[in-house]
Amino acid sequence: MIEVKNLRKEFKMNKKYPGFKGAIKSFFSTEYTVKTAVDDISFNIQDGEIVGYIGANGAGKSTTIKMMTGILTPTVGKVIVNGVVPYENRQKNAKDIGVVFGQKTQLWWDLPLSETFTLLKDIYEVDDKEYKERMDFLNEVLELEDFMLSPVRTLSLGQRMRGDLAAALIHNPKVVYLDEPTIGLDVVVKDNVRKAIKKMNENYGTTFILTTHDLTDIEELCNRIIIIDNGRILYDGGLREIKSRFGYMASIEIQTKTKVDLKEAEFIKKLDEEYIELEAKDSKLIIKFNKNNTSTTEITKQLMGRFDIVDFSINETTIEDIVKKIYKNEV
Amino acid sequence: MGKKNKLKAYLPFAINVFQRQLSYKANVIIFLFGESMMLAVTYYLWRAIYGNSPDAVIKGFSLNEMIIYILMSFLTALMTSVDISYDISREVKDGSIAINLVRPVSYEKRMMFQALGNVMYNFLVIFIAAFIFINILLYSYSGTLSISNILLYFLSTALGILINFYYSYAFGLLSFKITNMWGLTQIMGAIIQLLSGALIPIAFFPNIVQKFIGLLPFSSLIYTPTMIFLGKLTGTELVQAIVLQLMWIIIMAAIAKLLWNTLVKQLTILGG
Repeated sequence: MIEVKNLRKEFKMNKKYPGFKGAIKSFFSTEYTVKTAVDDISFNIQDGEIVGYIGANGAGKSTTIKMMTGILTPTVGKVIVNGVVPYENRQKNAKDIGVVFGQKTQLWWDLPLSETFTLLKDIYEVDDKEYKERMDFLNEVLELEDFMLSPVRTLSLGQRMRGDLAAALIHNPKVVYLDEPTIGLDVVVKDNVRKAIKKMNENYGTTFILTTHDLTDIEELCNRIIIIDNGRILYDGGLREIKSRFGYMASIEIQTKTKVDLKEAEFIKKLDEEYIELEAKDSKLIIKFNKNNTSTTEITKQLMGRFDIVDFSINETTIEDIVKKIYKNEV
Repeated sequence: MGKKNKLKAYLPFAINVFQRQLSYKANVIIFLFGESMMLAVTYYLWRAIYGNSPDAVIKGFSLNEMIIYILMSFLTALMTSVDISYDISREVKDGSIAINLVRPVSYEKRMMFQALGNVMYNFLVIFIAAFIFINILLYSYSGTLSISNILLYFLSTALGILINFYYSYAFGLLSFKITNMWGLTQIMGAIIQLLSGALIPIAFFPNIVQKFIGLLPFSSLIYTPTMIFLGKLTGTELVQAIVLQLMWIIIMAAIAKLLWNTLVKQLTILGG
């Protein structure tokens, strides 16, 4: 479906110097620096996959997406989507893709939302029957009815984003690129958006590629993630694999009736000589441990006898923690 | 898909621009006010020139003809100076060009239809009334109106609109490379003013300069249609002028295509 091969994108930027004097200097200077936004990236995406494409700000996510959608030409390397090279055959590629750029709207700003859909119907040449079917479906999952007739400029961010997503799906594209589709949305709307993505994927086999900073999006939607940093791929694989590979850290938090003395808990460390971390805050005790070396049951068993426990919770490592670690080069 | 459907895909862009323009009513009034000030200044300037000249006819223009020339060239300038380059550079600057490039539409055709929306608007809101007024004025001066001149004027203006479109479009594409176009736009605007005959009829320049300006695309925008309307271009001159307009359309369209092909690869999408 999508093939990305040794992709590389460099941007030339005029050298800027600080201050007023610097501004004059850079005005006359012809020096430039080359910034590599994407550096030798390769991956393949199959039909019907939902892939999370994540990375810190400026990691090169959006640049990759832009090359896949055909609006940027790579410096080196190749992208093939559906047998088409997007940046060489932009219009042909555009027919089969849908795009949401979270920070920019593709809706007609001055017109009612409904008008955008009829315009898109003509642009993408969707026939009446299909249009109605798709519209009913999108109406149902995204609840567009309430603001269908309001001019786009009067919509709230959440409404606008739902409109944008619907606009990207109206022509039943084979591939949909979502660049931060849930940015700035409240929980309910986020949930709406995720539901729509899931259903579209189930009903029509649509392939989704989404970049996001909200890792709940990833956990709820994606079966595969690609993590990039500084333009290079750090990880490409299943969500479960990454959890089992990096997610061996877990923590137990107990609440006791009396104040916890850290020394009283030291004995736990015997369970795993390598890594157990203890932390005490008033009547709270946090134990961080490695699941590969000892188990939750073992630790709780030991604790139960010694402490007067009021409350008790176990935290598995979230994908967020893992990503944080990967960014910080801890893994 | 047939031709009809293709048209259907682009028409929304024209209609959208048209609707947007309609919603800015104050704009029209301010525009008309500004233009009439300019017209008044030009009118009194020429009256003074003719009043102080021993000849009633200067360079083949009588005062009455000059008045018609001024009015007509203002009106023609309005029709043939739709500024697409501004739209393009704005899209590049705010990054919204990204959205427009992921749609299955040709950028050039889309821009052409946006220009068409503007032309339609100018035509309906200003042109029709002003054109009728000028014709009545001309009739009161000369007692006749030439239908063939009027028809040829429309043809020539339509060609002028096309030249301007490709010129402005090609110019706008430069913003793919140069992000801030303001300075360039100012210079190009001044050049057009001078060389298109919008300020003074090209007949007032020295002979050699006239020949040179006559070959440039700018005179095809305003000077040619206006002179045709006045009946000052006839016979082979007329044919030559229209052929020249056609040639410039082809040249400009080719330049635009070339620029697009080279510059689209260098486009950097700003923001996000």
